[in-house]
Amino acid sequence: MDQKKKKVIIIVCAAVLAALIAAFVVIFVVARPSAQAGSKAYTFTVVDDQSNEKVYTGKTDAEYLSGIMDELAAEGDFSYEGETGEFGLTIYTVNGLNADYNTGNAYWAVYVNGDYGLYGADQQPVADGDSYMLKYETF
Amino acid sequence: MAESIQTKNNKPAFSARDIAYMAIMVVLLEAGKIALDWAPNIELVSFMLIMFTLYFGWKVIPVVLVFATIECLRFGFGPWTLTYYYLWGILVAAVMLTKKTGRSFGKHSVWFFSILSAVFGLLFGAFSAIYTLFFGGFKVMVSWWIAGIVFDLIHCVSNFVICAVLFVPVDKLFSKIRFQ
Repeated sequence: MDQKKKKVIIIVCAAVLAALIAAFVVIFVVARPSAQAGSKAYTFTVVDDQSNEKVYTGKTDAEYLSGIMDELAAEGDFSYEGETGEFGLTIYTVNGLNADYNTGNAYWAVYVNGDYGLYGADQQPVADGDSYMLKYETF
Repeated sequence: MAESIQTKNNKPAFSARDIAYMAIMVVLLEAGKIALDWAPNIELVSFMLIMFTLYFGWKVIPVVLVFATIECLRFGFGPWTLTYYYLWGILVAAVMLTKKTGRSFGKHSVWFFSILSAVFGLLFGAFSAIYTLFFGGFKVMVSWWIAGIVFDLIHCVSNFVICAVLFVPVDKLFSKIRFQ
């Protein structure tokens, strides 16, 4: 095979490879799995000691309610403080309002879809479309 | 009575030497695979299979099957390990089909086979994704493939570089071993 023909074959092969790489890059850029706001819609409500409600809505990939709370805290319009102990996360302060049952007669209750929550915030699974509430309650 | 695998003209399909070579090939593939297991999509198996196929032809197919089985034993008989049964066979077939073109340069062309290796690396994810067609359908297959394109690009570049660097010395070595 003459030198010229050899060169042509290699150039054609290289061009095919380059075209394939370019096509793959374009396909990836156009159709890659993009980071989304989250796949599960939620409503999160904080009810303070005056029964004022503050409602947060959004989408999340968080596994547990505490994940949503962390995301909201990172956004800046929500804050909470608590302690993780034997029974999971105990919330003492939400948006600056303290409800520590150790020192007073109030606590932050977790509600899920209107019902009293069975788990702490760090153990409450997040499901698409659920609504969660942190409510200041007294005893 | 023990029977050997024989061809139509009553000659054994594999000579004792072939079988010894095949065993060595399996060992080399496995050693190469383990040596770079830590590096995602950078592997020596493609390069070695190209070289083996150039010198041993279709006799590499049983080698590939044994290699795939060892991989299944190492990692379990999961979907991705089962793909090894056909993935590497595709590379062997591609080399066999293009062998003539690759040789028409007077000797094996390093650039031709480096490009072939790169194309195989690039299409590796697409070939691997085929099995998902049976589990999740066409959409799952396409999304599975697209999600791994970055790794395919790494595979493409690494296959090209490995083949370009190692081809000439290994080709010389193989021609000595095979034809001495």
